[in-house]
Amino acid sequence: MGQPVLQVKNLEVEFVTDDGIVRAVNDISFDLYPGETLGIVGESGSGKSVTNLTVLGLIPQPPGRVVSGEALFDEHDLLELSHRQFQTIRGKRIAMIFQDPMTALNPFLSIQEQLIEVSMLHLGHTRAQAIDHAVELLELVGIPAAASRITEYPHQFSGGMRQRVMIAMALSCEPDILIADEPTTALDVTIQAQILDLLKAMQDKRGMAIIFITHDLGVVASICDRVMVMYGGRKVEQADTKTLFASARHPYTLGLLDSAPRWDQPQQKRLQAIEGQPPDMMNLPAGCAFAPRCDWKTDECSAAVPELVSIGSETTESHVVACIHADQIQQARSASSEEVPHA
Amino acid sequence: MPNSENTILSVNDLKVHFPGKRKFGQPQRWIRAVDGINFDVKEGETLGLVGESGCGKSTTARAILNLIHRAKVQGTIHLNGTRIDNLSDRAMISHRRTVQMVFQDPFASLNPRMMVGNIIREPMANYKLFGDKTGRRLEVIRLMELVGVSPQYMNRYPHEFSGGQRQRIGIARALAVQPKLIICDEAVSALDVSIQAQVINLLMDLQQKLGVSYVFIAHDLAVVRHIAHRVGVMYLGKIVELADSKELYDSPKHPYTTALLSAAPVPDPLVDVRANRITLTGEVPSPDIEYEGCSFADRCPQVLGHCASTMPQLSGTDHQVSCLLYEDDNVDKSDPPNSNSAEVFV
Repeated sequence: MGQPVLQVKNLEVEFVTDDGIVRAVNDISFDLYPGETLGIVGESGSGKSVTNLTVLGLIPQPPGRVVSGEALFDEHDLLELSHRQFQTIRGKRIAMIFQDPMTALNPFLSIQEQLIEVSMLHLGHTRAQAIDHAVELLELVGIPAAASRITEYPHQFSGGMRQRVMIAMALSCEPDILIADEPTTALDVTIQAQILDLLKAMQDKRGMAIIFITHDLGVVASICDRVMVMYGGRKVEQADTKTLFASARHPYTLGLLDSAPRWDQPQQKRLQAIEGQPPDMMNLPAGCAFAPRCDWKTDECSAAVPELVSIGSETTESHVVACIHADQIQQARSASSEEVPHA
Repeated sequence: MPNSENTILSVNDLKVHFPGKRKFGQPQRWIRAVDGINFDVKEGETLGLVGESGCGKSTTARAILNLIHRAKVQGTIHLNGTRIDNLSDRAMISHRRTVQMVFQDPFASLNPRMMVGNIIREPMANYKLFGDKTGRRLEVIRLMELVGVSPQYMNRYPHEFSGGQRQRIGIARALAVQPKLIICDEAVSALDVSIQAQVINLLMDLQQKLGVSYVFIAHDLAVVRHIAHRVGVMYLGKIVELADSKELYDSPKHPYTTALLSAAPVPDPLVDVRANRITLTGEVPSPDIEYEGCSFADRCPQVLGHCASTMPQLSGTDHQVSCLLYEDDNVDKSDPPNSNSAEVFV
């Protein structure tokens, strides 16, 4: 796959609050290659968004603090850049789409004002050039009558249309990396399908890499090439999408896969919920953060944080998992799948 | 129409029209949030209502609870055999025991200044149930155990609980007056997948134990298939299709249902959803338009010549559908007519 466009190494981020220190991101490393879509999955508070906001230099410091790690992009460590240096990268080479298109757009400015700002700043367009460019972008993302609608304000657009405007804005400078933080969570399924198709088409055309943050496994299955699963601020498993869905090894990943109901299959008797509650990030348990909710828990689980181990030699893609019982789990799963043939 | 004994809720030709913004010199426009819907809910049954934002799901829920103000409400609603849509707020109080609601946002729906024990106790006290204070306290303990929140947390405040636990407290509050029907309006949408599964299991267990009925409103098609016995699909204030859950998902008839299902992602990378996706063009139109014919006609991939001028009726016995493609014969048609302009992406 060539050289990664972004390399995050051993990233650690914490927040200092009145009640104590929240270790939001612990020892996260990942590579992102050109043209691929990396999914990041996890519950609320698992550190998905903080990881990416840190990469974009958008964590307010204080209360946030990058304890260690680096994020290599184009021979720069993004974490070392000054505010001014960052402005030449953020929005131009790395762009972001947020979850809520209503709050991400400024309600006081017309769509035109918000769109031309990007290209005037980064591409040195004149106002007239920038407006032409903006209209082209809106047409590209499928907004009908773009030339006349561009002077309207965000409240005159529907949720799906606003998200298209956000995507147009993000694509404005043809970025190398697009970070999409739950871009379709607030949208209806038919609109979600349109937006996912649009992102895929834009990626095919431009070859950009996408980091797709979501908690919806259905969306992961339909758009991501590789998936990283986070729990308690750590990476617990990573594999290519097919491998992850077919032979996940981490009990948390398995729990997530089992607890999601499917509309295309007859209902099972009961959903296999993961018992217990997500961890308190203020005082994470010693050892594996998932241990208190895990069926496979033994005493060793609480002794030390499990290392990420590479498994699965059958595929060329790397499959890493952080669980000391991964082998047992695999044996148990293959045994039980022999008993009950896959429906 | 108080019909068969075990029908808890019967909604007949319900219409809720909100007044739109009045522009100078123009006639009053009406937002047709709900525009003539019919359904029944039986004892111990879960009816799912699905549809996109603005299709009238939540308005239907509020109409059932008689919580609509400043709107034209037509049609009848029978709750447990009594007509409730024409009752005053005061007269409604005695019926509020029969129907309760669980809300979407577990953060906004619990009073942050009340201890959770009191939140669950308040509805009981309103109806003077369970004898005295001690009796109610015991019932609060029983309910908290029932929904899986340890009663020792009775004196804590909502902010000390996670989203999933708060939703359990909201369910305990709804159960406090022993209702026959609970309306769940997007009750699990705000929860993480693993917690969502816990709450769905809880709701299904409670139904087994207590025989309570649910109207389960959600936009997540997978969740609705899992929990509901029957499912109604809404589009622009109308139910366009209503059938048994398995029947509806396995052989949808209405073109809108088909499109909706084809857009829903499946958590399995081996299923190529894109292969048979029907992409609808455009978006749901504004609900202030009065249609002569089918309101879905201008987006429908299987539109017929007379669709825009003839109003389809929800018809059929078990599998009801409101579409002219099925108008001629309410007998099940095995293969739908040729699509004339279906945009199928391969």
